[in-house]
Amino acid sequence: MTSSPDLLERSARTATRLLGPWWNERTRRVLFAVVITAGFVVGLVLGLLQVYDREVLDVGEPRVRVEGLTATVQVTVRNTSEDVAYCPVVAVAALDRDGLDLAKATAAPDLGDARLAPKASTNFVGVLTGISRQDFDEQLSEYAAFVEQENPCP
Amino acid sequence: MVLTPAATERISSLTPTLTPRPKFHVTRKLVGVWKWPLVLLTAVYTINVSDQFLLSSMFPLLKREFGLSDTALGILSGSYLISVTLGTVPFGALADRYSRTRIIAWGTAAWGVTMIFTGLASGFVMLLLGRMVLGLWDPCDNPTSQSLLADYYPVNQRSKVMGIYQMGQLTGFFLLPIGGLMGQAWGWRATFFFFALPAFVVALLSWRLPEPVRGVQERRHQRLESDERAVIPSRFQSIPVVDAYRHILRCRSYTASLVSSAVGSLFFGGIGVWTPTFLIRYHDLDIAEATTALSVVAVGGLVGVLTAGNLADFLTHAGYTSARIGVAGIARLISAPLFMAAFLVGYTPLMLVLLSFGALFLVAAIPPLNAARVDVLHPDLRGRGTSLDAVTQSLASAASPVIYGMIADAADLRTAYMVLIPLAALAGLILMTFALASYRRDEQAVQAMVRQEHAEHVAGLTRSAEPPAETAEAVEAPTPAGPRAEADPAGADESGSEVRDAARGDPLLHIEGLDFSYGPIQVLFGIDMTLPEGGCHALVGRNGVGKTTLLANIGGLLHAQSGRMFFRNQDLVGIPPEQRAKLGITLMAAGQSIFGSLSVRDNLWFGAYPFAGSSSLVGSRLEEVLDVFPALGSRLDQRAGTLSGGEQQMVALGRALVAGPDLLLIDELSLGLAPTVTAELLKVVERIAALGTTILLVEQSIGVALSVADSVFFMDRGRVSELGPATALDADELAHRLLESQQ
Repeated sequence: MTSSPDLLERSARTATRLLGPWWNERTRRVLFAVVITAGFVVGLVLGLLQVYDREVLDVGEPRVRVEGLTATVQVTVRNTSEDVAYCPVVAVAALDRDGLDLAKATAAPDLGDARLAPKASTNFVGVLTGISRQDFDEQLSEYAAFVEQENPCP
Repeated sequence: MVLTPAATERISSLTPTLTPRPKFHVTRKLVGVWKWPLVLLTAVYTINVSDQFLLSSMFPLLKREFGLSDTALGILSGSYLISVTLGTVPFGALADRYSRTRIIAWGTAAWGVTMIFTGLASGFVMLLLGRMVLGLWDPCDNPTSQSLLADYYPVNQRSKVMGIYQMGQLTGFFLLPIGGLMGQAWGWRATFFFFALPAFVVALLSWRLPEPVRGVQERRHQRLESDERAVIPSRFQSIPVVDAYRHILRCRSYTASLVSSAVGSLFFGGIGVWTPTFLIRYHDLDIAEATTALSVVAVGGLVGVLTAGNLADFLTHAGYTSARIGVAGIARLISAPLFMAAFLVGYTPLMLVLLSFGALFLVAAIPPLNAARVDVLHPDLRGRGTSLDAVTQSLASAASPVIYGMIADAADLRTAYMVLIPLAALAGLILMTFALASYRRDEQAVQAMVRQEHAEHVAGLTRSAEPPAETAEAVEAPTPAGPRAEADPAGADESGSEVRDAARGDPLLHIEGLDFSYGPIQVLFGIDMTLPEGGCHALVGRNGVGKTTLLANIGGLLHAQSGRMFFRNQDLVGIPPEQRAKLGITLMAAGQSIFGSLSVRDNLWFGAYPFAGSSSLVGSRLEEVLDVFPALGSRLDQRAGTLSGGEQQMVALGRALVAGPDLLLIDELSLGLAPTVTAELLKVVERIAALGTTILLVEQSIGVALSVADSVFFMDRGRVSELGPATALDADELAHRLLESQQ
């Protein structure tokens, strides 16, 4: 029984024919070395850039007060910019074990407006409602606060 | 010291025929085999698993940055799982056809590039694309690695190897919190970038791994291979995909294991999702406590993975030929009542303990089952077989949480567990009935196919080496595909009995291509040597040619870099010295090989190591040795180092005799002894040989060698040649040859 080439074999042959004679062990080795080296260097550089590239609006740890099925989440947002004022939209959320929203609300500044002058900090407060008793007991994992829009002030 | 004839006669009670051979068991360590591929492939597995749940731990950060809805996040998760499932089957087919080390190297490198691409995503579409492509690369390692491991490591250590490899999955899960912490500290992009880095390192190392020939371990196991680099064609190398899967599914034990895994996955696929909820609902834990409790349970799984592989190999060596299926089946059967009890009890600590043990037995089934699955698949089908199993398990695991939810909605969560836990028992029952009944036959069928392919390959080589007129016949000879097609399981038993029949006439010790180096200095060069059962065989050669090194390799004190060694058809690769002693190999080292600071009695006791569990047997054998060497009787409490040279050699010989060896390796018996003392010891050696122990005697003294040996091997510059029967050799000629070799 001699078997005819199957789809995999035919695909491999076609690919080899299309790539031409330059696709040999040496070129494969060179290409692999390039991919590995470039990948490692790029990954490392990008990673380090991320480590040192801080968000301009620094969101602190959320502080939570729970009454019944209502959670009031307060968070401090700090503008780390030297010269730009921001008017951010800040949201708070109750997350389940998978990081999905059980409830979400926009937070408002507890004093004054949302304008954050350079190097200034403001407290934002949001109230989370509508979480069922079962979700509250079984699914609620953590509270989170985040900047939805940075919005440099006009 | 003179031995009386009566004393030498008494040796008969110490010979191997009257020596109860203790049960052999394998070491827990992988000994004498190259461990690097296993470490590397486990690392690849860890890396690939680590990203499976990385995305979900980044959900809050992704939502924050891209404003994604929960539906969008669900699509990201789902698309990844679909890609993994789609990618598994093609990678299995590729693993059976092309270089597996290159598949892993390219696949892992591409995985790393895709991680970086994902980290650069500027929106949902790029994230989705990244996850889908990442899912395609993810299965590059599992089917490929299992096929590779089967060819890297001896058949008799396969379960153990699969157990260590399985650790990669658990280690990957443990990396998940690290990803979460990195995301919190440096952002999700940095996490993806940094997780990509080790992928490039392991990809490079995988590229450098040698590609083993498919089926090489099966050929080693059956002592078939002469050139291990020879690729032996098989009909499975290029058969159509459908035919390949048809053949795989025709293997009953494989199909039974596939069904068992699927049924089992329907139960345990949902455990991770629903157990925290169960702990919250029925044990009043908060969510953090429930998650922590579940991670404690994972430790049980870790223990199971590490021990089951060893146990299955141990039992296989002990004679339970289907132990791999048996261990897996029993483990699943035991896990069911443990889980049942865990989800019924109200006392939380007890529940967690039961849950841990349940997890231990549940996970314990995986390594022996993976090994058994590899055993019953032809080496050219293992990638496809493993990938089919992975897809089946993925689909069942994906359906499991939904089934739990449906039953919980209809009744309650505890009822869901009570309904689904019996599936674990059913999975075990399938293994213990269908798989166990056919495993041995399927395994032997694979061995028979490998043997037949090898025979055809060798016949083809012989024909091609013959004159042209006969070569024409060879062209018309059946192609490799033809006759092999008849190598069906039905013929396996017959082939198996042929092997056993052949084994009866096999040599006691068979060495092939043994190379050994002390660091950069090579001492043994491709030693080929066959020692028949019975008689005394001398190995002569000048100082420094490697005689002692060869003996140490046979005894297991040194491990050759390459080559094979079989003792009664038992592959000695990976078997440490103490186990070789239990097999019946005893080494009497050169010179003063006794413990000088210990008493004579203690020295003799060391020889009884193989019977350490039976003090009465040890005592009686010591008495018998003292009958042979009565002079030692009055010196039992004397420090052995204070004895004369001849007496010390008697202690060493007595110690070797206590074990009743099948093969006694004696290094330089006459070293430093007076001729009269040597003559007395030789009488004992002759008597031991006459009563059935095979002796390999290393000697520099040609006179001593020829006076006692039946046949003589000559060693020069790390190579051994057989000179033939001692009676046909001339001592002067041999001495001349020895002197020539020194120049």
